[in-house]
Amino acid sequence: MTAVPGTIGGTAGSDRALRWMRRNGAALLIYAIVVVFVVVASILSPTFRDVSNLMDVLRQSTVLGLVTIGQLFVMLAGGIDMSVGMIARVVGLGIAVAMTTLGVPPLAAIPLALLAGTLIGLANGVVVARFSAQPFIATLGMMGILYGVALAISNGPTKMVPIVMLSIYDTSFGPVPAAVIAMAVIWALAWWILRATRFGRGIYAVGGSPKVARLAGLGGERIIMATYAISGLVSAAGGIFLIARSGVGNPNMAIGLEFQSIVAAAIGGISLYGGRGSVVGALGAVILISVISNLFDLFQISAYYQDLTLGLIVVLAVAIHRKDGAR
Amino acid sequence: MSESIALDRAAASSRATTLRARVLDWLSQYAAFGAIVVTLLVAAVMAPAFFSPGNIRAVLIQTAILGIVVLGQTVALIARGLDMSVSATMTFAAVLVGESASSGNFGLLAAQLAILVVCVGLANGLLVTWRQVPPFVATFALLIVVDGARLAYTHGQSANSAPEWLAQIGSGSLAGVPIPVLIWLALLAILFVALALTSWGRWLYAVGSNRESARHAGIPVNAVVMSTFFVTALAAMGAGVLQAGYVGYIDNTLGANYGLNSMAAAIIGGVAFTGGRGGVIGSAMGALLLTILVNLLVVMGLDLFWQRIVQGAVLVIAVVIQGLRSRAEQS
Repeated sequence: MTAVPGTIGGTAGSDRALRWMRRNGAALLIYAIVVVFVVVASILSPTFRDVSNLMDVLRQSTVLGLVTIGQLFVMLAGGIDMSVGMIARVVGLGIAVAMTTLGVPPLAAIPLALLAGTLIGLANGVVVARFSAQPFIATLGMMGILYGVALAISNGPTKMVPIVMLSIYDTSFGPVPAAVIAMAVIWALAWWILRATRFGRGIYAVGGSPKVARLAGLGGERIIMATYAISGLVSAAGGIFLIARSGVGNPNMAIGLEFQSIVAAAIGGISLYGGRGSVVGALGAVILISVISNLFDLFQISAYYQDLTLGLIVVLAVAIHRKDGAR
Repeated sequence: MSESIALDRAAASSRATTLRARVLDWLSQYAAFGAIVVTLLVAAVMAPAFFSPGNIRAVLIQTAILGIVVLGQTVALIARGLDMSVSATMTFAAVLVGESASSGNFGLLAAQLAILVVCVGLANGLLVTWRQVPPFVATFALLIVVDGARLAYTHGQSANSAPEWLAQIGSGSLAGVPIPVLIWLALLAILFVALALTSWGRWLYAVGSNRESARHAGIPVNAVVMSTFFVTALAAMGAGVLQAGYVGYIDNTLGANYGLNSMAAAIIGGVAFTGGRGGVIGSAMGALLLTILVNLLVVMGLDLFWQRIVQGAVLVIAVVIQGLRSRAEQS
């Protein structure tokens, strides 16, 4: 007799655990893979397990981390942003040229660069939300336009930016780089916005069913525009950070960011169909991608094979990811 | 009284919406054609050099090569898919052709090209049908893999010249018409007939319009979707080979931008990104428009970056026209 309630309680508890596992399966899997990679690499390579290298892995994930936040806001609202990499490139080249050739002080250039990125993102949002343009193709067009703009700004490496800019990348508190702390704060902010604010709930509602959200007066159009503006803002921040890392603007910078950010968001459990997914999983995917590219360098895998390897990993990841009855 | 006014108003506004919808519908179908006429007028005034026989010939050949990729892209778009990997397939095919110039082994080349098309088509098709990955993600992933595979295969060195026989095809003429143009027109005719008259053509439109009802109607949806990716890969392979012959040498950027441009051409040519609508004639107009625009920029001596800006802008304009049309139809 006494065993019965216990059994029921146990079943309910394990049910809940099962449901939790199922809901967060993608995120759990990502972190499990990260742990496996880190443990195996640490055993194989003393260089890898060095604290400064591990911190570097995190620091190098900052650009992708920033851009992925924008991408996941857009994707949760049912869109996609193909222009993030080119926004980062245009803003990075623009700020480098502004600070060197035009002599704009960094304190003025940074806010202007962030504003420029936000406005480009907003333009994407207007085209998608107001004109009902298909997001993938509209932002692909924007990517093409920005590619041209980047070439117009500079078709060779720029001059060295003021040394102050480099401190954005270099500053550390003890072993922890300031950039990593900043990224942690921004991710926490994104998590909070999506979880606890009206805007965040609106994003999930719009992504889950754009028509219903529009009819219910949730301001679907404005929410969609805001997600693209956020994506533009964080992509611009990514571009600035790239400049802080290398010190010069390069016309090939930020290549492949659109794809990496979509992949990070997608393998992190963000539904490619909108309305579903969590921030935590996407962060795990960003770290995973950073770990993998660190290992490429550490084990001196030839650059000729890196793209192929990353591509095959992505194909595997998207093949495992299945349209989980989202719609 | 007031009720009838309200009704009149409703009728008037619905007339206005249908007129708006009709204008947008018309625009989405004939935008490319109209834009070609306008562009040619602009060219006549601002850059008469555009009409030199040599330049017209170059425009036609470039249109043909883009046009072949666009044929594939059109088929994919009609079935509500798309293929981002065409540029990688083009470049890889050209690299293989370049190698055959030194080896002279055509049997090997044919086998390699066939394997390329089958692998790319099959991988894209399986990801989209079996694993239900959205086409843009699947084909984007393949773009990275195929470009990566080419890099691994060539170790970055692909500056090669095209074999002599191919250069003759690429820049030769038959009865005054460039051979690539003849090939393009022949393929255009074949696909036009295939779309209009075969059950495969009807299935494509049905699958693109409504996948579920197509399935209920007994159409082999997965096989149809799969076939579109073989068509895009085949078209891209052919275009890559022809491009190598036309320019005479092969480098790593040979196929760059053909993904974006082929989509821009098809969509400005009236092929709906929502599937089930449009055809190869319209998208051929789109290919002609894009090529004329880019060529005009070159003839006018504008910087290279304007090409990218114009190509991107055409895509945005095309997708906005279609977006407004579908919105006008819904309301």
